[in-house]
Amino acid sequence: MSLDYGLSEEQQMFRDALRSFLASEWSAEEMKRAWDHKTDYPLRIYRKMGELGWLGLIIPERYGGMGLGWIEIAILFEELGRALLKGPFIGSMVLGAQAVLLSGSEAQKQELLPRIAAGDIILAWADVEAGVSHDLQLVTTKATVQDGYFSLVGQKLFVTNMRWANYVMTVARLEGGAQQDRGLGIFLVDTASNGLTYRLMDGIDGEELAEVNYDKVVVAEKYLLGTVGADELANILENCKIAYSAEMVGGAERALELSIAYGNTRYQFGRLIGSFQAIQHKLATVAMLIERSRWLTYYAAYLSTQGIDCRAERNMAYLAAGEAYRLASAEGVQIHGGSGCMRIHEVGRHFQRAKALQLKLEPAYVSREKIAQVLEEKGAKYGVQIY
Amino acid sequence: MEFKFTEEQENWRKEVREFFTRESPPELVRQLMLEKKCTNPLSMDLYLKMAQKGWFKKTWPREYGGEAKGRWYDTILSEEMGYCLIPRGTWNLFANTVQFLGNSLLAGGTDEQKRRWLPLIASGQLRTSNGITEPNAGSDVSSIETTAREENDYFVVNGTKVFNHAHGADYITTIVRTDPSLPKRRGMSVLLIDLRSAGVSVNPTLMALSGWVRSEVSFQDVRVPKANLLGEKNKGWDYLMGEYLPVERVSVAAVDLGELFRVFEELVDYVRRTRRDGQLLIQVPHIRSMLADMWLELLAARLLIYHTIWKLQKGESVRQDANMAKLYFSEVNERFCNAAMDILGRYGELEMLNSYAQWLPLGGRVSYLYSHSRVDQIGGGTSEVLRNQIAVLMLGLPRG
Repeated sequence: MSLDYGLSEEQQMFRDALRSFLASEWSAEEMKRAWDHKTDYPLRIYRKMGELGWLGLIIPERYGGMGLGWIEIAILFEELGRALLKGPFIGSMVLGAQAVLLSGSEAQKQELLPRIAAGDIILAWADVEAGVSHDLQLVTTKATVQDGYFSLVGQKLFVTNMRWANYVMTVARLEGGAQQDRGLGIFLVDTASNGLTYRLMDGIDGEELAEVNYDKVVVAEKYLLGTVGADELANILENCKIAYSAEMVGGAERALELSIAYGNTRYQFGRLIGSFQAIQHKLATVAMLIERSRWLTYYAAYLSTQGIDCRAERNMAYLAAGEAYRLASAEGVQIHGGSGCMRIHEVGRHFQRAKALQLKLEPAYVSREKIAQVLEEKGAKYGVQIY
Repeated sequence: MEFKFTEEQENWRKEVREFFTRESPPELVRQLMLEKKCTNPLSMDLYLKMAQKGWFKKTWPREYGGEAKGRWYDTILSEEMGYCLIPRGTWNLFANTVQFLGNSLLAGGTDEQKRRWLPLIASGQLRTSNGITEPNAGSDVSSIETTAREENDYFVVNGTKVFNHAHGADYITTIVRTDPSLPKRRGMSVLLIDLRSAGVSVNPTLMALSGWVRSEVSFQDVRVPKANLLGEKNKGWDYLMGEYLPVERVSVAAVDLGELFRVFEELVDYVRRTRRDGQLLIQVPHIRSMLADMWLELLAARLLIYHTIWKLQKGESVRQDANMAKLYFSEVNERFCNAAMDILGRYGELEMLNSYAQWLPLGGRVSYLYSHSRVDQIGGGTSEVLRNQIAVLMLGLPRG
């Protein structure tokens, strides 16, 4: 087998099934309603997808998952991005699954993973704090060891899906007792715990972002998923870039399709506006940037699945997909003219979602710096393989 | 999905790289440039050695003496010619003769032509240049004015072709108008014209910004045997648009990408050990950011080029994929060179072909590449024409 850009038959069937499922379950009207009125409709779809087994993509089969890899994750998120379906996907099936696999005990894996795969529990992810955006070494939320339990004190920001979450996975610094210098822990905090409060804030993409406060929240010992180094933690967050990149590729594809359709139906100056080179050239550029981000994304997904170092490539995918989605949606609004600026139209929602997704993990300068770190450490090389 | 070359392909790349590293070290190439006073000198010696190794026919069918290897063999060879910085005149000859003419013959030549010309291409004895662009026909190729009228067993050719490499060739693969009464795109044909024929003059006087030499060729009542008509009469446009240009576009992108990657390796090495104003260049935040983008874009270009080759290998139409890969790479090329110049600072200003080699980081190649970096956005289809084509033929927008 030489280089092969094609999906396997199973992967193609998965994509087709996803696309037709979303087409029938999730209309543009439903999308706008959920966005504007915060309906629970996305959660219903999420649970249905759990019944279909689609939430356990990267969970091993022995824990009730499908034991697949990051290419399947990319396929799923590309379709979610096209459909503008926002739900607890990243928090539960990507971050949650990885965190449990990385740091959970065997008992915790057996207890949690099948439920994540089935969509029975929703996990939210809380790491960012007021003064800590990307360097988790600096996390200040404290988990103090008490007699048989931990007590969490601190505040987290920009936690998504808090409204639906059963547990919020909280990154906190371990303090006291024998675990004095054990760094960071991931705690599975029941959202109904005493002392846990949150406030929802509206994002420009219709996603709710929570400020979560921990006032001596009691967490039983068994809900410490385990202790991890900041590097390991960073790695599971970095892998999310594959999912986010694919979501942005899908969104960009959709924005481009909307623009092409409009260019083929809208008349001005007695001509279809899509026949103007000023518009054709914009869309050709958009199509090119989508193509580049698609292959960077699937390439990173391939590397990650194979266990090949892809610290740089994940960031390249995230940067490229962010640029593609932003430009596709910005030019989409421009091409749609006045109607593109209205909430009634789908294209403007992509414009907002694109920017929000670009910022979900970190702004571009941070991703560029991560690529530069790899170059500084390893130099550049053009070997017999691409990677 | 798989992004891994086979062991056989890996070995091919190793073999090619080892050969070029041994036979064409950069110091030798630099000497040749200074000697020929141009940046695309031709080393026939190297060309013939490649031919002797049987490399020109690797991808050809066995019935024409080939090894029926996949397209990847050509792509890897092209990339390595760029990466190993071989004399560009040698690559010009390879691209025009082996890739352009060879692939076109295989796709559209008669059996007799294949038997006559392919062995000469494989052995390196046939040296050809493309002859497409004219003073009044650049992007609008269908407006060519070079005519070929039939007279007994001959075509009689009149006209002018520019920006080609005829100075290093014996034949020129020329697109001519054979029937002015037909619509523009229907009345063109491709002739293989002997440059030693009476009435041909070759003027290697067109010096590019980067120091590449190109030629102007004029034809005055040049008699060309009808046996040298490639494919069918009046089908020239189809050949040009069908197989010729996509292959050319991807091939040019692959060789230039290989070259840029070499420069990138050396540039990263340079910034990791060079101090300026008391600071290692790699520590400068803006330079780090530029390097990240440069790497991202080289990898993305590589993935787009490979995507085209993958489809070509599967026998699918790749015209628009090739357009996109070429369009993207050509724009990356300029951004990359511009950024590399900024990183080198004052040292970037110096011309490559001078005697102050000690002040030329990376052998002065960055300034040369900068001067060359617009060429790819023009030759083989300008970015504007490619965007038009992508918009209409790929995205399905209405024609303007």
